[in-house]
Order: sequence, then C-alpha cells, then structure tokens
Amino acid sequence: MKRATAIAGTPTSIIPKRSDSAALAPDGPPSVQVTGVNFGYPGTDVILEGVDLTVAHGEILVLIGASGCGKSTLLNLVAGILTPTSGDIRSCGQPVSGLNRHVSYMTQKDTLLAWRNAVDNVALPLEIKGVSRRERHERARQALARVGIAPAAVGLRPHQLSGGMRSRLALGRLLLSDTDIILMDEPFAAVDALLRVRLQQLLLDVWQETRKTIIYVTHDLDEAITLGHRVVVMNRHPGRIAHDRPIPFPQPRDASRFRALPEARDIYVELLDALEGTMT
Amino acid sequence: MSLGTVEPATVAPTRRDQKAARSNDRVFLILARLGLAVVLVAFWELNSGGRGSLLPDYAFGTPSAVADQFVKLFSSGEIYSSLWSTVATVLYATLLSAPVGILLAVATSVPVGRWLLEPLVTITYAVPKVGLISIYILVLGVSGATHIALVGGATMFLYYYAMRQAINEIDRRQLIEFRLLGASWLKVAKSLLLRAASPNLIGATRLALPLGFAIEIFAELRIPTSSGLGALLEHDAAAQNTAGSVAVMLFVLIIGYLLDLALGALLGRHAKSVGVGAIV
Repeated sequence: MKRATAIAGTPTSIIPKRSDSAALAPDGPPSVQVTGVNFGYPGTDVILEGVDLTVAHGEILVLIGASGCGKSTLLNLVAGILTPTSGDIRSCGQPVSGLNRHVSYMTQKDTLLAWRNAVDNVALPLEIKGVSRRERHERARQALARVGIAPAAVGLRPHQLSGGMRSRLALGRLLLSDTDIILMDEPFAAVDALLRVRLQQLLLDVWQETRKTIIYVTHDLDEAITLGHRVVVMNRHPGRIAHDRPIPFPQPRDASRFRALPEARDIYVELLDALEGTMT
Repeated sequence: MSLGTVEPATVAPTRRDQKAARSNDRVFLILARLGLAVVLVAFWELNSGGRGSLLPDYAFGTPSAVADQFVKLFSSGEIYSSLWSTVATVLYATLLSAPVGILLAVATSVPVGRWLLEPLVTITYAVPKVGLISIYILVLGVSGATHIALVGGATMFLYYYAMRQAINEIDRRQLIEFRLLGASWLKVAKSLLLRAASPNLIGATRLALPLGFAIEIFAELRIPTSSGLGALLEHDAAAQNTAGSVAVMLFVLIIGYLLDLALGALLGRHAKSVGVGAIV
C-alpha cells in the first residue's frame, strides 16, 4: 500500500511500519468480516442477531444506533474480548479466536496508567514490543508532538491533564501501536464541542498518514458523517444492521466545515430518518 | 467605585508562600505533638509512686527511672544486638511471606486456582496463628526458622488479601489493552498488576511490620532465647526491673511509630503522584 505523504511538520518516523504478516494488498482480504454473527449472554435476550458486515482495508466505518443496540458489543466481538454465540468473525483474513492482536482499542474512558507520565503512557506499545527505552521515548515524544501535546506537558501524569489532553494522549498511543485496525468507542464523547471537532480533525489527519482501518462508534450523526467512509445504522432488540450508507466524499475532510455542506445535511436527514426507523 | 480610585488587587499566593505555609503547619504540628508528650510525661511523673498512687511504679516505673534505663540500654550497647535479632527475624519473615501471599492471590484469581486453593487459604486464615507455636516448635525445633514461620504465617495473609483486593480493583480495560498490545502475562503482572497493587501492598506492609514485631516479641517471650527485644523484656521482668521493661517497650513503640510514619509517607507520596486520596 502506498503510504500517504505526511502532513507538513509531522515526523514520519513515528508511524509504525506494518509487519509483513499484516501487510495487505489493496485487493487482499477485508480488514474485518463479520458473517451471520449472533450474540447473547446466557439467560438474557439476544443482543446481536444475524449481523453481516465487511470493513475494507483502510476504511473508516462508523456505527450508530440507539443505546443498547449492540454497537459496543460488536466492537468487543471484533476485538475478541467476547465470543459470538454463532457466526464467524475474521480479521485480516484470519478467524478471530481469543484476543485479536490486529486491533487497538480506544474508549471514552481512557486506559492511561495513573502512575506513568505522558511519555511513558504513550510509549507503552513500544515497551511491550521490547523497543529500547531511548528509542521509545524519542518516538513517544514525536507522537506527543504529533497529537498536539506541548513539550512542557510530556512529564505530567494523567490526573494533571485535561480530558482533551488525555484523549490526545490515547491517540498518541494508538499512533505507536503496530496494528492494522483501530476500534474507537465514543472516544471523544466526553469533551466539549470545539475540542471534539479538533480531535476529529486530528483523527482524520492521522488516518491520512497511516490509512489504518477504523471502526468508530458514536451517537453523534455529524461526527459520523464527517469521519466515515460509510455509516452503518443498527437496530436494537435484537441488534441488526438496519441501514448502510456510504459517504461519497473524499478524505481527509475539513471536520469543522464538512458537516455544514448541503450534501452533508441531506445525508444527516437520511440517517436521522433511518435512526428513527430503528426506534419504532 | 469612582474613576480615581484603584481597588487593591488580590494577589494569589506564590508557590514559595504555599511552601512556607506548609512548613509552618508542619512545625506547629511537631510542637503540638511534643507538647502533648511533655504533658503526658509530666502527668505520669506526678502520679507515679508507691501503692495507692494512680500509676504505681512497680507496674509502670517512673519517667526518670525509665529514661535512666533507656540511656543504659544504649550506652551498654545491649539494645543493638537485641534489636537486630528481632528486626532481622521480622524482615526475613516478611520478605518470605510477601511473595507467597502475592503469588497465592494471583493463583486464586483464576478459576482453577480459586477452586483448588481458596478453601485452603480461608481455613488456614481462621486458625489463630500464635496458637500454632507448639506445632512449629515440634516441626522446626527451637530455632530461628520457628520464629520466621510464626511471623511469616501471620503476615502472609495480609499480603494475600491486599493483593486479592488489588486484583479485584484492576481496570479490566487496561488489562485487555495490555493483552491486545501483545504483552505476556509476566509483563502484565510486572507492569500492571504489581504496579496497580503497590498502594495495597504498602498498606499491607504498614500492617505487617508492627504485627510481625508483636508476634516475634511474643515468640521471644515464649520460646527460650537469649536474643531479641522479647528476651530483653523477659530478662527485665525476671529481675523485676519494671523501668527496664517499660524502656524496652517504649523503644519498640518508637520503632513502630517511625516505621508507620515512613510507610505512611510512602503511601501519601504515591497517592499524590496519581492524584487520589482525600487526606489533606
């Protein structure tokens, strides 16, 4: 795959090289393939029923739907945290069995380690891979710069950072994760509107550099339209795919302006109708 | 406010001012504690004496006699070997019991380990530890090993329950992230479990050391021995040297207080570094 040119001033060395096993040709297997998946906890109602979903390599797929429709459950199934009751999930062509090492996961509540400073938190994926302390610190500093963390803040611990900075830190950690797929479960839900737009733009910029596959869960239709190549609306009780809408505009988009375009408004109305249809 | 007047600006205290205020608070606290100690000693001195007095000297000694014995203990050097004997036993026992307790907690955090080991741990925890002294003597003889077994047998449970608590409180998403990033279980244990458990383990040590001292001194009183603070107490009691016994106990009290202070400071430092805790 041809890597996109880095944005001006962006250190390209922070972008992890794909491992050979994970390198995919454009016509290779899809990043994620979910076929006929059913899921329910023992003794409870079915949460997901007959879910079929294919996510192409390098695609940003956004899942929307009412609370409790199984969006997060679907992410957990793709991550291998949960096992489907029946059906098949494949990641980069391989069946998901146990934790899926092809994915990184980012949720609304970050997983930063309270006892580590910003650099050590961001460098965690490199540390686990056995990269030397010096190199991982250097790359972590570059990643922090890339996500807009000032040098003065690199020594701070998570409790000393604002919600937005913590989200940036979590993004920085994703940058250093050598995985093909990023799962994001309402990662920016807890930040204010302006910061959310900035973080969305940052995510689009990062995607432009890395072309990783992203499955993104949100309740925000504007966010879904701004970020996604495709938006999938889910039914609830049980969770099914109700509507699959491509967003036919080139990436990267301008996160602060794109949503205001008339074409985006039309898609907004269409998705809102689809969403309302799932509530009846 | 008229145009010609200028309101005095409210000046926020500088970091140096805050530091000076904290230092003043600390000096006040130390002076208050010393003052209280002086009042208590004066009360003791004034109310000590023969039969009929509030604090009879055959039971409590008098402050002046205790001070005299205290000085003698140090000037003769007798205290050092006794102290070392007791401290060494407590340290060996703690160093052995802590890993055993921690490993047991880790082992019982998985279903098979829980099924096999938890009943055993629960039953042995219910046994009064000092009541096992005769069994230890029968098995291990009158030796240092008996002392270590007695102390370690009691302190091990503190580490076991502290670690169990920490494991129960681990953020599951952090655990999953470590595993998704490819961390081995050893890495998870070292960089997540033990690190997250450190406040619990420091807290356990804060309880284990005084408990260890108490049990070891009890053991030195029960098992014939020529060394240790218990032996020193026994010797003074046999010689009806009440002031000597009180001096030794006072020394144990000071050691316990200093240990608690040091471990409390360590806990406070940790809490501050991760931004938790309500003790101001």
